[in-house]
Amino acid sequence: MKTAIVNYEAGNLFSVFHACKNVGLNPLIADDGQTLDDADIVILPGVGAYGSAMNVLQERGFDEDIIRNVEKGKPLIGICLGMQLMLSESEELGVNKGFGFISGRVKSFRNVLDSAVRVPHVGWNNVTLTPQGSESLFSHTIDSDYMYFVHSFYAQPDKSEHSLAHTSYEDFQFSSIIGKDNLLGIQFHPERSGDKGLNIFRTIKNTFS
Amino acid sequence: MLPRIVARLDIKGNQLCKGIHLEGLKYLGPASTFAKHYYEEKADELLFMDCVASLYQRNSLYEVIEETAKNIFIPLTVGGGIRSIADIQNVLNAGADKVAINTEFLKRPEFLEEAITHFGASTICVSIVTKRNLQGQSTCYINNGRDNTRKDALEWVNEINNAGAGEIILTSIDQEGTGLGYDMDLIKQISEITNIPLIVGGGAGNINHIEEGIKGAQVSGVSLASIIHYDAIKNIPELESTQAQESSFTILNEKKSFDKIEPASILEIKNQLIKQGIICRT
Repeated sequence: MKTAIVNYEAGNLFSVFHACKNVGLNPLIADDGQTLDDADIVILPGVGAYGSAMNVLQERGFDEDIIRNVEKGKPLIGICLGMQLMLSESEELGVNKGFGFISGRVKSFRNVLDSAVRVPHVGWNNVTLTPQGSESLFSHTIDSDYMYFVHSFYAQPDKSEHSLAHTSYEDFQFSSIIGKDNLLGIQFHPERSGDKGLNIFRTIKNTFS
Repeated sequence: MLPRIVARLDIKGNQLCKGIHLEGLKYLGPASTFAKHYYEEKADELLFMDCVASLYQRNSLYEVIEETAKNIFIPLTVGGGIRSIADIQNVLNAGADKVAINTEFLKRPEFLEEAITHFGASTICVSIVTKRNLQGQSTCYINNGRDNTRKDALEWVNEINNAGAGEIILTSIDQEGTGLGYDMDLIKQISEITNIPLIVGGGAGNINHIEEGIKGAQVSGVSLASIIHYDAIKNIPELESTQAQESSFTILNEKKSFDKIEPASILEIKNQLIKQGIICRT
């Protein structure tokens, strides 16, 4: 079992690496497509701006490497910005295209929340499985747990069946985990969510090994 | 959304230290040992402040960050002496999730926008260190609380609102290390004029103060130091027969620094807050 973490200088590589290592996911920092091809699981991490992240992925040729591996059926796990990049497009700093593996959009909290509400949405918030999520790999892993979030934009998949878990920020509900076939996107940071977060990596390991 | 209980570790070299009004620092023991203890105690976040970097133009934190980030799976914010995009990159590469910057943002406000553009707002926290003058006005201090910029704290918050930032971390020098409670007037004023997440620190001496800090204003969390450190030095087995015991002995003997602080562990604090109707992660 080898896990490739895509290195495109978009933050949180180190913490994702150590969380994977902690649960025995054998992480490798991937600087090229070959490492992705050789791995059993690919993780796309990410912190930062949507458009520039996609540009860096394209400049390094990772976009094609990722698409090729997803088409082969390899599990792709997106975390935070990496999750958002799986969707069709984002409205962060103009309209920017994503991979479009899951049809949907990334939208700004500022446009849907009262102006007095603090943004970014940062801190520990409740993650509850949807009916689809209760039948997913996380059925015995997540039970209305608190996980650590940091983001100003949220994911909105077009089809509700692609939403595996949701979270509410000031009464506004958004998808905190999305999934479809071999794709899994996590909005919060499991690598920074204590024991409950590590359990997510354990479940990924047990499911795909 | 839960109010965050943030463990704040002021660090010199690789040692945790603590003072009063950010002065008279005492060594308490290896920072990474305390960090691990607070992680196990269910701290929601760790805040490392390198308390000498601003003064001596150096960054000595990388090793402590790396050592901590390997074993601790909660967010880690690091501040102290960060003054360039390269400094931020280095701290993030070492394993920090966010950075906290005070001095350089006040000296060069354009650096705030530059940092946000480069790393995204959510990675960039603005640390604000304030002290009241004779007229009662809170002004911003730099270089770990040494130098008064005479910049009005509320005015600075308004400028930060315009630039955008991931978080504001507020520390009151007047209250810091005293155990006399938070400067609630200032906290309320600032919380009302900003919609950026706000972490407040400086002054919590007992659990009632923490409850007051969380319930008394719209804050995102509180940062704790003395109250948890003085508990930890008694309860971390690895610290026995080390420098820490000596330090704790010194602190315990200095009544002026200690008699207002009722040490408590993070879990004790959280359990007490839960009894007061504040939801916490345990």
